[in-house]
Amino acid sequence: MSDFFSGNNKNIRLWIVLFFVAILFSTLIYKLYVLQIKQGEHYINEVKLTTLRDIPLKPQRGNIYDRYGRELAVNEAAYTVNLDPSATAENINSVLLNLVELFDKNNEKLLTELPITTGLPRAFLFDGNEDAQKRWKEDMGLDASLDAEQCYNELIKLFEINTLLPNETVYKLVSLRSSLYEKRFSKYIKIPIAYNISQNTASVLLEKSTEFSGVTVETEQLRKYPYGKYLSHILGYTGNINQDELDSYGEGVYDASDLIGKDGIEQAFEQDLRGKKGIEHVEIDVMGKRVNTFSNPEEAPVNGNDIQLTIDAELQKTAYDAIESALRKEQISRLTTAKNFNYTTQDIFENMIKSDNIRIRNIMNSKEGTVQGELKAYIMSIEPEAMNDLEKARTALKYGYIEGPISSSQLILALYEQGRIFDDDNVITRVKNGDIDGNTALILKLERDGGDITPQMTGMDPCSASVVVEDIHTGDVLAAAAYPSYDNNELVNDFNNEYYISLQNDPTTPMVNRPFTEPKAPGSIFKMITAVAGLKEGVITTNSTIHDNGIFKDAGQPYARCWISPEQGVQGTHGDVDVAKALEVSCNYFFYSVSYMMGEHSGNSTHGIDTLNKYMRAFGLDSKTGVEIYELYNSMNDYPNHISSPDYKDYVMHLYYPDAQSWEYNWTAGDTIRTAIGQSYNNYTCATVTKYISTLANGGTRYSMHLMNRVISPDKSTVKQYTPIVEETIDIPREYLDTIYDGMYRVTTGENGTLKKVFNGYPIKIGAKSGTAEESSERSEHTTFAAFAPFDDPRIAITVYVPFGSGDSYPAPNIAKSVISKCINMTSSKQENNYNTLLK
Amino acid sequence: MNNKSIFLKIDYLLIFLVFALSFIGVTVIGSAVKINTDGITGPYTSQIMWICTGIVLMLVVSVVDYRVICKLYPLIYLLNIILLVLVLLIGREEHNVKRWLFGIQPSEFAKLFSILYVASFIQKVKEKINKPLIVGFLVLTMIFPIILVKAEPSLSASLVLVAILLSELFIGGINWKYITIILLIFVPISIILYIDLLNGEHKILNLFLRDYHIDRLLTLINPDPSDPNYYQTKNSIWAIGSGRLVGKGLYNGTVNRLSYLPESYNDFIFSVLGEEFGFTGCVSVLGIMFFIVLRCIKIAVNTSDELGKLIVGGVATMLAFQAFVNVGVATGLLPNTGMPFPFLSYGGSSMWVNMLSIGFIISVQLHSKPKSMF
Repeated sequence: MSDFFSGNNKNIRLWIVLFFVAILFSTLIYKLYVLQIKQGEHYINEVKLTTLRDIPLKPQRGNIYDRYGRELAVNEAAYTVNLDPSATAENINSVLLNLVELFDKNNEKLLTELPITTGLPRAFLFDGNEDAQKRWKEDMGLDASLDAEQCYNELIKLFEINTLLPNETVYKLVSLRSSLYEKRFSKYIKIPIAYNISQNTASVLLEKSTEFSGVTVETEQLRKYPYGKYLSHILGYTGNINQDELDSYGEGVYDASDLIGKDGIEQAFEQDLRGKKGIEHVEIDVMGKRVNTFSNPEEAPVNGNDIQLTIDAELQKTAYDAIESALRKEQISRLTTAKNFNYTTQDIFENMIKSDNIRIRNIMNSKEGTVQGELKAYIMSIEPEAMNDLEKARTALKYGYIEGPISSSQLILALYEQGRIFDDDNVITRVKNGDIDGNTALILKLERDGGDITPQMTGMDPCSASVVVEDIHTGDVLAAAAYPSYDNNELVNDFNNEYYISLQNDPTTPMVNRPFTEPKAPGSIFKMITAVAGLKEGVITTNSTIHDNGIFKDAGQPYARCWISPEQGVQGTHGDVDVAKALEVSCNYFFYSVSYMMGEHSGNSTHGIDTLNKYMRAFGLDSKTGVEIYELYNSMNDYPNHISSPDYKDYVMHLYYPDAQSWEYNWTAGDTIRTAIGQSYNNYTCATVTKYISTLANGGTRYSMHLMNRVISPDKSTVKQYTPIVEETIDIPREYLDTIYDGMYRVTTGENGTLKKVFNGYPIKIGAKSGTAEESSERSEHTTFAAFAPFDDPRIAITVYVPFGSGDSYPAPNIAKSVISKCINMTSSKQENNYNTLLK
Repeated sequence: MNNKSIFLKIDYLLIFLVFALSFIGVTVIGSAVKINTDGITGPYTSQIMWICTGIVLMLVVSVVDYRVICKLYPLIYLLNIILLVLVLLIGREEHNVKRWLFGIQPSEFAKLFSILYVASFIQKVKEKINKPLIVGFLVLTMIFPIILVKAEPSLSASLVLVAILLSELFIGGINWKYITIILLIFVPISIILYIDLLNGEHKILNLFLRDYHIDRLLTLINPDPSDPNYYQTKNSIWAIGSGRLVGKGLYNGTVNRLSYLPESYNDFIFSVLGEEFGFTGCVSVLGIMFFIVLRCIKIAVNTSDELGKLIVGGVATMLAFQAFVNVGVATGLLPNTGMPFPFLSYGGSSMWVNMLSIGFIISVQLHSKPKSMF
């Protein structure tokens, strides 16, 4: 033993070394056993989590067609330019600068997602959404207290952008770099920076791909709305999903990069149109680059269903164009010949400054040597702070115009410079030289159909209208035109934020879907309901006559009058009228009497209105029309009753006149008789009235209104086919109907027909009724029109609303004339063919 | 002793094991540098070249009598010091470290030189090794190369030198008293250093370790996910762990293929092996290495020459120590330090030194008389 430990036995010591090595290696093997055998499964998952990403494959969204198979919303393949954050080079700024310059040269539109305005003074483009602004600043690592200008400058510094470049280029670079920066933690996601570029630009980018490292060109499906403004309100548009929408659908259905229907049919039929997302699995390397892609057929995307609407797109177009044309005529009439509610070109220019149709931001960002530059110089001389306060700039411009230093011609020339209106250079020169006066130029551009100053731009009364055309036997909505409108192509794919904000600020509210959401008093087009009620309740017969005394005194003060104009200071009268004549001449007195008699019948003060309400409900005035898109009554769930009734009066009075005396809440006989002629608390959308006219025209069957005709699967088979829904049937004896129809026929043809002049020589026989309603004594009355056609075998019902449109040019009936002609004269055989090609 | 008997005496199993390890190494390096997708590239062909030249060097050395070489041990020591000084003066700097001199790494050669020097010295002084002055002189002369290597800096190589010195002293018959004394000093110091490491200021460690060494030590104790060292270790563990029993197959290691492994063909070659060949592959490679060490020990035991025993024992220690540290780092058992796995990792100098070392073992086997015939 002592020899062993004395150090002489080297062999023993060598074995000890080996033993020591054996212990160390055993430790390693134990560690490997733990990692690979015991925890192997865990590490496999960890590796998968890091290296594998599920990338959603987007299905193609379903198309939308009109009733004849015309394309209303389609997907078009287009070249899209993306930035690949994982492949961007060190010299990213110079790559992007080349890109911007190429785009400028080829006139391509770059997607600028930067939520800051291009022009000065810089402002945020969050549309007042504070949360969105806060979130963006957090994402970009910017201090929450910074304003738009400061944020912009911080970003220039952060991205080291050369500020000697032109301002617009700097802006674009900041925007592009910001988009990249926002995605810095998920580099495998590509960032779209331009949609729909030309073949030419695409080939330059592809050829010089080494110069443009990190820039990729791909083909992508873009949403197109071939009818643009004509159908924007009905179709809506698609856009990036927002947080609220994400939350409402819950986990796993949508992700933050998805598009979703934002309005109209796109929103209402989202579930049908969207299709089913597919998944592909991609492997991500340590740089965040995509290395491999795995996909299996079961996870392939399923394209969305197509939707075929009941809409006739050409009819819709006709209606819209007819509206614009009629509004032009009425505005010109008020500029030139009208005696009442007339205005001047100065009023229009003033209004266009006020409504920002002469864009103040453009003026304040204009260069010297332009007309806008002159305006800017003037504004600055009056209001030194105008640069930072556009409201003050606008006011200065307005007073400059009213007081004289600024001329109409200058304003017209500013509109040319802003690209709001167009002309040949020689015309513009003539305006500059004074050969054409600014006021004349305005009239010329306003009066011609298609002229680029529209009734919407002037913003003068009347500048809006609704038209609804319905198939009376099915409830199909054939057309539902809203004026003014907007171009949904601007809001789809690359959401044009500045355009959107200008729409939001436009006083003519072009985004409002008027036919379904703008209620107005219908006026005399209501009278057929009173007629049906009177006949059915036995208050009158088809032959009963009532003498028009001009002033109706039975219902107490203030007395209601017949509308017929006084002659030599004496209230006019229609004489003895029966129900048909009452409709022909629109005799208020007759309908006052009928409704009053319904009340006297029992001695109960509200019996008259209760009876009338029963018929109003039967004709659907208190309910939704049934269309699949948003309509007025969706937001009116807390209304006790939507029709002119004691309950509703009570509700409205409490809402708007909480301090009224208690007796003022009570329903009066005066309310009843005014309700009977479509005034009082009557307030319905154009669509609601159309539904009532349809019900009347088909003899009493009330169909739900609807826009969806059928849903077609990607393999072209019908998934859903709409079948008409009867909501209620009103039993109206043929005799009554014929009498009412006769009265309506005589409106356009009778000796004393209220629209005889307007429809003189009109080739189609129709049953019609016109109406007016006063909303404000300062402004012209609303004009309404309702009809069914053709008279002998009615197929369609139409209602036209022109708010504040009552005037010498009869806009409402004139719009209806164009629409009815288009609708009835249509040869449908060819279109029927088209209809069928949508299916397999 | 005729030529015929020389060839009969060669330990062919040892040579086969070394070849096997080198072959596995070059195959895994091929996967690490993605020859399947990127084509045959530099490191792969270089490694093959180094294996081939290494074999030649091994054969040349094996026929030379090691005792003749070891007679020149003061010159070997001097050459070692000169090379290590030169690399610090005129060496090529890469990533803040100076390890390269005319394409070779003197720190790798220092391992072999030190084995020969220490062995020769101990053999020379025989029993006097237990005299404090003598052992003190040996330790002192070895401190120079250790410091010079550490100055490059190459902490791992200097640790190898320490291991070689300690191991040869042990085999050379150092008295157990010294061992007891060293343990009595070393254990408390370790505890103190450990406490210093946990203490944020590192007052003691800062005296002889650089910040990044301390960071690596800390990473081991207290992993911080954002730390790049932890990241290396974590990815290595993921790669090895996810290989499970039989691995994902050659070229199929996800972590390797997607470049999540840093230094995959060098210090972390074992991670690629672990991912693609699994527990089976890892145990096989460690098994081969253990057999190599076992053969060395047997040769050392069988030889009657004291010098031969010391040299072979030193080589066995060098190989085993490097393999242990390399795998220990790859599996997260040890702090992250760049240690190559002998014959497996990429690298010319280390391949040559390891091959030369095997050459010395064969030389010992061939030129010394066996102590006994069993």
